Amino acid sequence: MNLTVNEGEFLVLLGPSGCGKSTLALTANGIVPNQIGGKIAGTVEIDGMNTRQHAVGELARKVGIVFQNPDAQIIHLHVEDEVAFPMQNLLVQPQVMREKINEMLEVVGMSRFKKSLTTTLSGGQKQRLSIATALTMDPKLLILDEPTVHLDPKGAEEVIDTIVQLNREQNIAILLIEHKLDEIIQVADRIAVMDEGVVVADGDPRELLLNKANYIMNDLGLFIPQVTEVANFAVTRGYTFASAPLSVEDFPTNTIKLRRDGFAGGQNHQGNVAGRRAVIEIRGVSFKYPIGTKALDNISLDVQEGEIAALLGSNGSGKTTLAKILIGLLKPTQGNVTIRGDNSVYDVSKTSPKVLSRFIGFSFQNPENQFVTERVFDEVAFGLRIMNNISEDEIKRRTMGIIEKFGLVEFIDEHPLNLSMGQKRRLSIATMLVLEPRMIIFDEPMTGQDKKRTDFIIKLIQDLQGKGTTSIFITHDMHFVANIATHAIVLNEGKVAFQGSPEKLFNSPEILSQNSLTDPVVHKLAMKFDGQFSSIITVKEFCDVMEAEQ
Amino acid sequence: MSVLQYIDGNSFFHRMDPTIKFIWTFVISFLAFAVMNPFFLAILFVVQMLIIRILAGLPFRSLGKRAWIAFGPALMFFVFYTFLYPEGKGVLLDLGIVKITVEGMMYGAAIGLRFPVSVLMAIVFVLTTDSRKFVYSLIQVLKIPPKYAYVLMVALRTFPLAEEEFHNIIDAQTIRGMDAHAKGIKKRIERIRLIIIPLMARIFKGNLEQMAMAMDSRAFEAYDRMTFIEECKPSKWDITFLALWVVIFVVVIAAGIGSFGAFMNTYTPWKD
Repeated sequence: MNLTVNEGEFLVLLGPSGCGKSTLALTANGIVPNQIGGKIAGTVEIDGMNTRQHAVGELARKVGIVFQNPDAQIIHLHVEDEVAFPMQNLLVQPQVMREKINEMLEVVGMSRFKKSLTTTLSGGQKQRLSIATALTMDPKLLILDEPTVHLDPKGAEEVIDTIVQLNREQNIAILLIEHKLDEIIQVADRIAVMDEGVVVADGDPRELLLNKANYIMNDLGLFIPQVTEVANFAVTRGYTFASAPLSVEDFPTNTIKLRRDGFAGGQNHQGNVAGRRAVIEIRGVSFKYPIGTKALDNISLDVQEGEIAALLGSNGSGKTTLAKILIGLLKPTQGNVTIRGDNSVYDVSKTSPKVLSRFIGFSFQNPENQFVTERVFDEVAFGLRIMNNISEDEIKRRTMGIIEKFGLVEFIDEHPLNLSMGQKRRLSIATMLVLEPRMIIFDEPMTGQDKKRTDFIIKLIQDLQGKGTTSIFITHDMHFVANIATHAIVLNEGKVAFQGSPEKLFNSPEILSQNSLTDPVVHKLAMKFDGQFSSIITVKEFCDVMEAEQ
Repeated sequence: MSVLQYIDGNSFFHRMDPTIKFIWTFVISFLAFAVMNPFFLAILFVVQMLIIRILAGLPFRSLGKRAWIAFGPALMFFVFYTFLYPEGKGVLLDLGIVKITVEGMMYGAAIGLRFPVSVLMAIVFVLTTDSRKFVYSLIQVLKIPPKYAYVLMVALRTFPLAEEEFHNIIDAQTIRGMDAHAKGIKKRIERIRLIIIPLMARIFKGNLEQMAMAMDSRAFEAYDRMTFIEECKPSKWDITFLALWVVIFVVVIAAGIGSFGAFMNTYTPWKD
């Protein structure tokens, strides 16, 4: 592959999962092949230095790198020590080091955390700390490998703002690896697209998205900005643009026609529907951890049969605690939760997780934590086998059925831990679905997934809904919420801050800002046409309205 | 909160260079295991109580449940030898099979007191030592190569992450229907194995591998030495304190109160 990053340039690198983006990042600072080995052909030069002829320590002065996982790249327990680390390694004198620590923490807006413990920082703060650490070596190029993937929208915004500021004010070249372009497309100078280890498209964002949007989205299965999706659809319907819009600000309101009195709303966004029975009833639930932290405070809500509910809120708002109560891992300190099983109603405080697992499945954020056998087949069959009352033939039939549905047949004898991350995610969901639960909880199912995999999970949840299965998912991804949720629940400091339709949530700017949430870009675009209220929260709805107006 | 966690402070022990303090805990442990005289060990124990309160500035309650790490085995050994010492002549109570003797109680007290004397000082070391300063001191004062000293730093950082992963795995497997309280050795071993394998995978693949890459990309080992924001250098008081205890140790050995043989000879009764 061939790729050049120019001085002071902001380059965004896209590509399907497993296409080689992260390997490329490690190649740029010499870790590949100097530290972790491998065979490399061709040359990689950083500011005139051939990476194979220089040690990683020398290259570190030219290239800073920030990885995806905020926790796994922080080595020290104290913020100050973490920032000092590269300078300590490069034999910088203590006085210079002290000044540089203050300067770099100031640049990323973290000065007040100088004496803090790194374990007490939020995800966004940890990523900004890693950026400050990389900056102490005065790199010419800063590589960021999906730095916002584990962050809530507010944390992601903090990180993106910091990167843009560095590029604009300090002229540091940026190579940003990302799955989603909506928040960064306006600031990118160039986009490069990778597939199977080669650069398949490279150029000006506007031109690239105008000419290759379908290839990027449909052939490679990647996300393109929602504004671009709308503009490209408009072009197919005969509308013309002076230049391809990339952002809401770019999009001219006089180009297309859109009804200004609001749209009747998609069928998905109706919120709780009267008349359906509740499968989960939560009444006055509070929860306090043994160390004294009150995670939930007098929560009451219902989840109805067949609903797809999004559980939202900033980090630490109580989402995971509530989910753990629903599956019986935690018992409420006050109040009660009832789950409607096949023919009975179960009080979760008095029911073991093993019994609850027959009715309610849970997909963890890290799928590998859930694996308990050494073969993909056994992993899927495990839940059926512990039920004791199912014949081996029936177990085999149901297990194979679900393995085929999830495209895992060729891995049937593999160890689950040997699968790719996408395959592990599919396997973890398959292990639950084979039990045909009435409810499923997904914890951040979309983390780090490209469009193709996101679409797979969306279709899966919708298929389940068709069979009457109730889904609850915890997420920070508002596009996903808009596309699939029928009901949104927002928690803030352990209390219910909002419950209703996603449409109502996205039209409540105060609720969004108080809870570190944001509305989808396409909703912002629709609001540009109709400043008070818009029911349009997905690209499809926007396009449908546009088409109806013609 | 972890059982053993640094407590911030400004006492003599808090200010002491961690390497000197570390060596001192070894000196005092050697001293405790070299001596079999319960009266000497009792005096040593009282001196240590004064050290905890005055030199380390720690209220006794700060030891809390941690004290059981020291006093639990002490009590156990004292009771064990009081009842089961075979050669005692000064019988205090004769219960037929079991005789409680003066020699047995003295022997039990000597063996038992070794634990609080050595373990309490190790606890005080942990409670008064900032782990980062310890790592920096190992590199600067003890001249340990950074790549070895940083193993400790990474371990300190990884421990809370591993603890979190451990709980996540237990939770995930519990809701898959795994029995949290497996009965029988075979089932228990299987249960542990099913936790250890993903835990190791998460720690090594997920955390340690990436931490190693992060360290490399921050120029770790670019040179065979490092500079530091804070210079670690033992003060003259630190050196005097350590020297004093080394002298006490030498005098105890020279005067015959203790001997190197006592390390091994755990069954020699206290008597001449």
